[in-house]
Amino acid sequence: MKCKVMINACSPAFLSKAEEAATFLQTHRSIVDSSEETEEAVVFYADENIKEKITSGLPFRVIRLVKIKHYQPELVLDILAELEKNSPADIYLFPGDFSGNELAVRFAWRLKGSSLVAVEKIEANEGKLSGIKKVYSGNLRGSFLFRTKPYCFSLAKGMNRLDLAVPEDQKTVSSHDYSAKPYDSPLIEYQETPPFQEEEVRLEKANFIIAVGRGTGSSEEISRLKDIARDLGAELGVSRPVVMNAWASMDRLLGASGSVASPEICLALAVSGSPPFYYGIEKSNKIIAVNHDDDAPIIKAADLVIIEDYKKVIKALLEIIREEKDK
Amino acid sequence: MSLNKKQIVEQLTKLLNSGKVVTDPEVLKESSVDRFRRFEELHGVYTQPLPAAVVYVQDSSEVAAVLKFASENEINVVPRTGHTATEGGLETIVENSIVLDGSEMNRVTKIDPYNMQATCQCGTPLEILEEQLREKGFTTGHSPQSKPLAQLGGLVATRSIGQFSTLYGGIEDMVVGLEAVFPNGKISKIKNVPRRAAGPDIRHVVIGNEGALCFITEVTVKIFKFMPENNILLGYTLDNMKTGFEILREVMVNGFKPSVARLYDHEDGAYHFSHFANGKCVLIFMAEGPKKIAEATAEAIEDIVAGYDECIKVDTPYIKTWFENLNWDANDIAEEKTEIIETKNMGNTTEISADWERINKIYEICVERIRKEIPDMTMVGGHSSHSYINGTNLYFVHYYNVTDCKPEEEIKKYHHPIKKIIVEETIKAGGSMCHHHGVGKHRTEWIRDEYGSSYYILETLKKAFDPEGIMNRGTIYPG
Amino acid sequence: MRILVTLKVVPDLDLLRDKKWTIKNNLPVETAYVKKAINTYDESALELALKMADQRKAINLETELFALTIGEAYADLFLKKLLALGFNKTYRVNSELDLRFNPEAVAAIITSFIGECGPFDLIIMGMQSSDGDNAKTALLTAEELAWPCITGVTGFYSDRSDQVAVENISDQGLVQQTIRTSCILAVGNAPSSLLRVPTLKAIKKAAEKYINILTLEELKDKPEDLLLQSNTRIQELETVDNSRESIIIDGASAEEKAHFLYNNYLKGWMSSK
Repeated sequence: MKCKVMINACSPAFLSKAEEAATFLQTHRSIVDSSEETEEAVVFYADENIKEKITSGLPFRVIRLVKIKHYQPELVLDILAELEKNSPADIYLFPGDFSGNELAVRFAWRLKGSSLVAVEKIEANEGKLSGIKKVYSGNLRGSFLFRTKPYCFSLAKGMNRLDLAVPEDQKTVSSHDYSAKPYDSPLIEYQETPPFQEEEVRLEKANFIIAVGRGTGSSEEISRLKDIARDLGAELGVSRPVVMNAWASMDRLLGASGSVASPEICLALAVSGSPPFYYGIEKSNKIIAVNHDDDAPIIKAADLVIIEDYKKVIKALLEIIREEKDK
Repeated sequence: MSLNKKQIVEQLTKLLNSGKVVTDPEVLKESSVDRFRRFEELHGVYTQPLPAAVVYVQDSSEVAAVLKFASENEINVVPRTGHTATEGGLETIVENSIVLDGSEMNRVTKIDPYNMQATCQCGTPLEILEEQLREKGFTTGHSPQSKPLAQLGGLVATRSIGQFSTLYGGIEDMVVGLEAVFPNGKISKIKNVPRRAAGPDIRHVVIGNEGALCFITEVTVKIFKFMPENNILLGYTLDNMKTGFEILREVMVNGFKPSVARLYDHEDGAYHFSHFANGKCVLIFMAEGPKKIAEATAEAIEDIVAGYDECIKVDTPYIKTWFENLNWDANDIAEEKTEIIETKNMGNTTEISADWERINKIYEICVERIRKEIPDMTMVGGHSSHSYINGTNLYFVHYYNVTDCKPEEEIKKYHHPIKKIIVEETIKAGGSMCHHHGVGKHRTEWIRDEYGSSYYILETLKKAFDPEGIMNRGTIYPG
Repeated sequence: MRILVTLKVVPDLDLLRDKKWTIKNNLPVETAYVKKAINTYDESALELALKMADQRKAINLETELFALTIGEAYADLFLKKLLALGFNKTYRVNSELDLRFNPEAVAAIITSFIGECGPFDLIIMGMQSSDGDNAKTALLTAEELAWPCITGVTGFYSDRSDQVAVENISDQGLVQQTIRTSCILAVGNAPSSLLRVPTLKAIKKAAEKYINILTLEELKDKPEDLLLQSNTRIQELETVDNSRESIIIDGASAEEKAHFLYNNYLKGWMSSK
């Protein structure tokens, strides 16, 4: 099948998203019966300055650059629909971020295809394609048959990323300029505050994560844990209630509606580990759970368990580590 | 001569061998209140005088030393274990009190299956004791909602009761013997015998004393065989509380003892059972025990209920899932915090008891008056959850939106007036204003009305055992 | 200003947190026996709409709030609550259809509803539901209506009916934008958005109001076609098994356990990374 990957290069994380998409295609190449030579990345961007980064960094052989004025979903949809409607691909793959999720669904509608959001893998079944994704807030996994082509889907968060770099001389790049396309924008005003302003939080990249939940009890405690995490060389991630109480910023959110991390070690403190949260740490190599509730779901889903007041355990750990350092 | 805080702390530290004296300001704040003042506490407001220290004792001799010291220096002592009290019993209303915490005395010292008894120290969490017993095929039969957090000392001190009481009884039916320390330092151990008539039953001086007479250090309870495979859960919807009380009475009067016998009114029912009982009352029973007895009990209940046309049976899975989520856990408590702060919707409970004749009238008048007289109410209802041959309890649940009101004024504007209505109507009708939470500090103003002429007996106990008045001032006995 | 908030009443999955789920006919059996609740993102949408109505009222601007759900009588309890909270009208499209994984049908119904009972200046929806997790309904509705749609919405306000100021999270960061109405806002993780509680007085007063119940036939010529509307088809549901070794570190104290953890595991793991 002909596969196209739609990359929003207006997003700062576009390269890692492209890597996820390339890895996904590689994993599923035989299922979708495609080849590296025919897979195409359609990249829309607004800033001329990142063109170089796109062409050198993108792990695809066929790249179609589409210049747009700025990212605005209706604008991008109009352009993509125009580009693709005459000879649509069989599969359109979108990254699992905000723009990917919204474009996959709306683009499929425009091309009268089928769509799924947050797909973990695809399977072939008697010549038809199914997407597998989590449902019921991460409690279950569902397999969904795509009914009509083109099959449009966005990837689940935290997908595997391999280094599939393609040397630049093996790339074919074409360009389209839609930046001057007349467009009746619904926008009257628009202002962005770039992410990670005060401190750079990269849960997806962290090797050691301390994940905490509602049991921590206050924003002061979260602040204290942030410092402790930093001292231990870990990144602090939190569950949804912590963010909803405004004890921590959204970029520390772990879970189905936040970041999906894959650290070597995840130290889960005072967090019950319900499926929507667990989704954010399930790719951890080792999970250590410290909780004084031995019925909490995370207990059975951890490698090591300590049933204790996490404060006491953390205090003790810090002392041990300090002693080690002094040796 | 009264000591200042620094001196109190110094002396306490000297007294203890391995016990700890904690003076961390956050701990002191937290230790000045219990769940009664949780609205203030959630907003970071602490209105009570701070204690001088929280003392974590390791054994009875440390308890004796601290109490003696407190007696000699007229320092108020607040005994505590699990910190789940709901009526203000743990509030330190006197400045520089000592909070005497037994939670580190947490060993289960003996499980005796042949004599069907288990002994543990006061700081043993009920859930831990229960787990250890279940591993061996036994149970305490005691399951209050606070079970995951409450400890034996406090459970005995408050005359607590659990969800299976209609079969197993309240804590007073479960306690065999105990050990308590008195303000003069005297350590009194009551031995474990099945029954005796060697004078009045002195256990009842200790059980329910709410820390106003002594400090409980050890408890022995009866244990029972754990046979959950025989449990039969039954649920019904019905239209009226009056009918529900009649059914409960019939079950009890005819000699049946389901472990669970609950009747929810439509308001309280709507909160728990909206998915199958919209606008209806709900009856829940559990038959428990040896197989044939459980089956016979369930059959009898079904027969009794069948005599009332308005009752419709509910599929068991509905009730089962609800029941499994009934007890508190740390997650629920944390979630409650967020909900209260964001929605400003606050709720509490008032539990009373009365005989069969009066219970429904008390229910109706209280609900009517609260709706009429208290502003900003969002819910008022209740349920009966502990039945006896001669009556039952009623657990009122009342929620309101705290409107135009500072956190520290919430009790005055809402909670106290609500309690006043319920207490006054109940006592007027001849019922009891406190079924199982204890008097604490917030129902003391009605204690003489509660007792009438028998107050003499209650107050003499205080004069005898705590002449200096150092034990939990303001609890049970007006401060 | 006329605002429509759509909501879905779902099983309260929190109550099944520790349970093992059984699947029958692609339906998790246990979910039929738990209490229901308003889907969490829809709850945020409802509270944010009420907050906006309060703010507008403070400057003497009227707001008409409408709520729509698709489902059976179990949803009426929640719609009554919304009437008590000040929603002008609530609607339920009565339907027994299994629309959990059919956002296309849901969007089609919503679109027809808007045609029948509109116009609306603003439609607020939760980004996805806790059972279906499709995350498609708001987007498909936007396509059906050819309206702009903003996702990841955390807040919104307007003091005029022809535009709305929106706060949302996007890949580029936090965004503040003003957009022309009519449009669809899909609410994501909005802080401080638990639905307020109506007083008994408000509930009593609202008892005079009724829930408008519509049938599918009223909105769609061929309601039976709705089942075929979905562009994907559910084949199978299976449980997710997250269980790991779960080795419990024992010890007499937290300190002892921490020592054991560090010496036997953490030290090695931390030095190898």
